[in-house]
Amino acid sequence: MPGRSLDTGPAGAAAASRRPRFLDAVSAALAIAVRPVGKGFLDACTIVGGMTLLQVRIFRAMIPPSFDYDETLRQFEKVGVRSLAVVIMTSLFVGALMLVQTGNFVRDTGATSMVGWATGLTVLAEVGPVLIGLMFSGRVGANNTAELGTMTITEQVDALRVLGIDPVRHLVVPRFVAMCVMLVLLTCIGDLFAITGAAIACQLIVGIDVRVFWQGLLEGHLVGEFVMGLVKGFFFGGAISIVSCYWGLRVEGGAEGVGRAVNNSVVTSAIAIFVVNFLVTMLWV
Amino acid sequence: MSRTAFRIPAPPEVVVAPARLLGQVVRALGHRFPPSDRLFTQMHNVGNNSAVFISVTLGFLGLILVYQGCVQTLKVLPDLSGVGAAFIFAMVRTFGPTITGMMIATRVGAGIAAEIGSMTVTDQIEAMKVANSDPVSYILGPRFVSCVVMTPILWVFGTLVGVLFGYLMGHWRFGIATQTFLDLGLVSYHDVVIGFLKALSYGIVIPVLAADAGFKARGGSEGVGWATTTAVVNASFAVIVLDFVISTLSFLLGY
Amino acid sequence: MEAAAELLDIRKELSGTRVLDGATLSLAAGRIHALVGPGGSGKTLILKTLCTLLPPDSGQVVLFGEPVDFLAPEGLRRTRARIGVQFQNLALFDFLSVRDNVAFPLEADASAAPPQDVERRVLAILDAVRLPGAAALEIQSLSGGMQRRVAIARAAVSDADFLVFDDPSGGLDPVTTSRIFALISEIQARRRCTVVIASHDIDRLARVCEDFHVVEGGRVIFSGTLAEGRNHADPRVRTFLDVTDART
Repeated sequence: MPGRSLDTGPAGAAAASRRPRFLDAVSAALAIAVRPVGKGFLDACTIVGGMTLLQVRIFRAMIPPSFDYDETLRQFEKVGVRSLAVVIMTSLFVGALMLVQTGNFVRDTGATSMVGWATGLTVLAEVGPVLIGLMFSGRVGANNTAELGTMTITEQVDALRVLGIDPVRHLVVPRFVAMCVMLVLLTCIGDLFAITGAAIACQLIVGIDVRVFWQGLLEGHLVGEFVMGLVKGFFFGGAISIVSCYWGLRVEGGAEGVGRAVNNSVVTSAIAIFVVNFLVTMLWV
Repeated sequence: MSRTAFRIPAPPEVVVAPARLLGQVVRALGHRFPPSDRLFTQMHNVGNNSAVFISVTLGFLGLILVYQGCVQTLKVLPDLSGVGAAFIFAMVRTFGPTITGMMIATRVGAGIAAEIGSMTVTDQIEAMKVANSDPVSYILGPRFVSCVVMTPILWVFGTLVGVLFGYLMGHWRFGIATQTFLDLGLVSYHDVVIGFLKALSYGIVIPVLAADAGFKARGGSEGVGWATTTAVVNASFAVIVLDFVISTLSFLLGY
Repeated sequence: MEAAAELLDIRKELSGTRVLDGATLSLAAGRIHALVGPGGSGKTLILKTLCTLLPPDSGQVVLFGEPVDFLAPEGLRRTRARIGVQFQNLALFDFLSVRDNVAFPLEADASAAPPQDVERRVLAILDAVRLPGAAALEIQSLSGGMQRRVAIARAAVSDADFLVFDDPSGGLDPVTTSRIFALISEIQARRRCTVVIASHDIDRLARVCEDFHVVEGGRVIFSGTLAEGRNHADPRVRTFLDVTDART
């Protein structure tokens, strides 16, 4: 600062003393405007990086497979039993809902043969897997975060480490495997019930003969869409398990921390579901 | 009392408890409206802090719906002019309100349940009661009002974001002209009203279900986890059921 | 002597377990009572019943000479206005500052103090618990001992006739514990209110409390002075009130 005022003389000194103040104001304003963006970006990088690392560690534990098989079987049962009812109920309503929506079009255009194909397409390929995934994340993912979070704050995870047991092999991989497999099966079951719900709504609410619906569905050749839905289920399961384990293992501070972690977990899972859904469809179709 | 298996809850328990809570909060609001500073804090939390989340999810939804719509239409006919109008219709009436509602159930519902749940397990709710302050009015009041006000606003916001991203997909990937795509021909006043009604009903139901779960939390951190999970599942499911009920009624009434 | 608070044959079940099994207790007005007993014996539940937070399945709660009707909100409100509670896990509102926490009972219930009085009383009670100048701080920035003192200040800020302290020294070092017990007896001496303290610290309870009540298995098995308790026929009462046994 003194050097500059020597170079530019008295008039320049006045300008120089004015300029920094102006620049300070600009940089302060910029900081207020930009800091949240930068912080959000850095936080997102931390989260994505942490999840990627967790994924790498999962794969390292799986090739060659060295993880807790008994725990995996227990997780299969827990994940499946826990979410079956909610998936069935959701699917029934989603199927019926999609049919009623299509019914609006059909009433305007009179193209009743469209009903089966349009409903089947939306349910099997897009809406079904996404909504089943969201409910699964609320039911199983959130529960998983709460469970691991409680283990973390009660130092059970540290106790495992002290005993020389790798928490990733013992806790995370079994959940990862169980959720990937189970969400495929649940999507399969869910598709069945969604079609059932749609058929019921077709006959009872929209008033189109259910045979027209079946015919449209079968002539639509939706096997590809059905398989794509199952593939989505597989990736959703992986994403939900990684997200929920990640948040569960980094819980800090008491009951409140667990609540916050579950909240973060379901939000991140929802984002992951929509992004994965987009990527799978773009690569598949 | 099983916390592990989701049971289809018996109608009395799962409907009556939130309904009673709804009655309580409405009565409490009529009695004493929350002060504006606490209201604005909550509105900021429900509305502004959900904006990015809803933009991301509804944006990807818009992209993928238009992509699928165009690809499937191209299998039958080479004319994509109808995709935009149908997409906007579906966004306004179903996907906009419902996916926005599910996202609010996920973010805000879980948040309310986590907050109230941790207040319940640490006796803060009882401390309020013994100080003669009504926790329903004090805690749920501002959150309820913010959800009722902000959910319809987020519905408008989410629908606009979804349509914008859908338009980007349709315009750049499939070359649909702007005027052809942004065709509001299929959207009537009914559809806007129905979309609004859906959003409003989600805004009423989500905070009540979440708070109900939060007030029922027992035990330490497990109780809070249970409350948060229950809130997300119940609120999301309620959104789907309400969507179905309102859609069916409007269909049967001919709107 | 007149009783400030009485429990008559209270029974309560929580999720299938009988937690209070015919608890009967009478707390004489204007004295300091100690509630002691092993962990899980029902001390906290008895205290919650006493401050009208836990409606019993059967039995009667009598406060200030009137039976409590848990279904009458207006009566409950009037009764609660005369009770101050420090909860076992403090239950401080972490979204409010120290000042707002302490002022909460006064501001939530407009009849507790006129608005122009609130500030003066909050500062006075913060002085009394040796936390002057802490009013603007956030709860999370305080140490455990300071948080306990804020909770005690919140319990005592209104002119309650009946003060309940659930484990006021839990997890604190001996010096802070002594200070907190001195503080409670100071508050009681000034107001002549009825105080009940649940604690494991028989040593320090013996210095401030006049009456002792021993809880075991969801009922009160002894009420009387410390000397009476140490000569009691029931060995459980003797062990629990014996200073040397309990401390070493």
